Amino acid sequence: MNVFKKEMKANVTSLIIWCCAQVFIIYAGMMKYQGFADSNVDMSKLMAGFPKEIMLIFGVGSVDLTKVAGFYSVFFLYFMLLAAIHAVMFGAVAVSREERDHCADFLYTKPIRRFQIIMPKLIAGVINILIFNMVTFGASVFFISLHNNGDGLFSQVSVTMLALFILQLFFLALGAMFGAVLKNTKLATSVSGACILGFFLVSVAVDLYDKLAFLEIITPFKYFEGSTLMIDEQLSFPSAVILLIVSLILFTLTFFAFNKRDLKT
Amino acid sequence: MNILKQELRMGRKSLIIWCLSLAGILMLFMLLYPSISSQLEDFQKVFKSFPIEFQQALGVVNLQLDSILSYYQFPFTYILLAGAVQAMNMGVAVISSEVREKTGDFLFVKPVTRNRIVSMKILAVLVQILITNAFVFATALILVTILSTKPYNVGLFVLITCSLLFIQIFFASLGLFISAFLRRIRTVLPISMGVVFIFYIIFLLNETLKDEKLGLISPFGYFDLSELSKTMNYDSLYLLLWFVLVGLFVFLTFRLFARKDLPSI
Repeated sequence: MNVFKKEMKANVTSLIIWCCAQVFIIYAGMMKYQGFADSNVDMSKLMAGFPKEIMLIFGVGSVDLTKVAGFYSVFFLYFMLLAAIHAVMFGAVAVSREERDHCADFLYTKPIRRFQIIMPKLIAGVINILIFNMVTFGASVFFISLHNNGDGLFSQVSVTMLALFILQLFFLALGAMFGAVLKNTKLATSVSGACILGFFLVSVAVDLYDKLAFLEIITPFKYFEGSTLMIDEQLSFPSAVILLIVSLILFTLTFFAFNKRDLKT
Repeated sequence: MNILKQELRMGRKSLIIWCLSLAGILMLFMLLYPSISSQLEDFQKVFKSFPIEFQQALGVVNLQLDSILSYYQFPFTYILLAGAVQAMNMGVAVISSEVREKTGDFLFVKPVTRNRIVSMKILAVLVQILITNAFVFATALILVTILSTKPYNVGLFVLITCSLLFIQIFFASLGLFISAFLRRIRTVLPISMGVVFIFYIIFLLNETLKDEKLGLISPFGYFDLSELSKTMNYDSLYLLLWFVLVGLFVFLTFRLFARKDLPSI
């Protein structure tokens, strides 16, 4: 319990900053939505005339930007990126922090098992990403309802946030695994950061050139589509299962690796 | 001089990794060009028939897709993103590492002024940024020359490629300022990656929204590549703003750091 409390307290400032950034992005984005709604162009009719591949390349697919749900679905990519960075860094730092701050000598000589240290840290991580998720959720519903005659699209946004949470969980696990396996915090955060950039660039390359579609499987950013979540209210079930199983494996790896870890003093 | 040499020696390994990965990203994306260049010309016809709002939303206003440079600016956006992370990393790390690694107690008691230490460190960052840029420039020049079937506009190529230098210097100075401003920085990458990606997302958002005020926030918008290929020059207002901000950040770094209370062991 003490480890948990300490971990929460250590991250409270960064969590607040992250949440503020997220709220600002949603606010700034939705503020300008009105301009689109007023342009009154029937996007779906326009799109129907063109080959679908062309639109897919520019990442719009069949999304109607003049509808609030379609407009909001574009944000999902941004949420994924920010949430992924937040979660992966949290995981990597939380697990390896004690050695960096030279507190390991004190913490790990206490009469508790390593398992009892790493567990509360990871639970604190889950709580942190959950708060981040809930703030995104609240801000989204609030700003959408401002521009949609009071209707916040509650159910669509909740499906989207569920997808986001699964992704966050995956990235938290990935970060924690790197934190446990790699030598120090610096290395763990660098590798985690490289992973995010790599995943992101692969997802861009897949959009660009359709023959690379087989690469979709390796980048989590391609597991969920903003438009299917927001418009069809559908959560891709196989994607969710794969991500959850991989997260579970990564968490288990974290525990094993951490138990065997040679702690630097 | 010793400080400069030592900094460069310490940063050598990560500099090499960064240069190679930036060149690698560029190479991967540019090698896709031959296979999609034929499609690109079809796209242009399609986009021309869109209403202007949607051309703006997709970022395809006045897009000239028949030259290799119009494709080149697309992967280069991601080079700017990655390069910004690199530069900000260096900026945040270069001064704060002394405190973090507890070497400040040795360095800051030497008979050199703090200002001299800071200027040497800034110089080291600048040298590394210049090396990165030279490397990326050479790689890009080779790739574009090999892949281009028609002669291309060399002036525009130089403009696009040099925007990396401006972006990197901006983020490095922002990083320096943050590191002088915060009392103690424990891990560099969460800060630098968070800040860079938030700016990047604001820029992406503004690609769709084209809001003047929002454009002033994100430095990625100062060197908007699609804008660049239209006007064939950097926007003088943004260039001025860039200059003022960089100057301000560097000035504040000296100011704040000279009076900073450095925590010791």
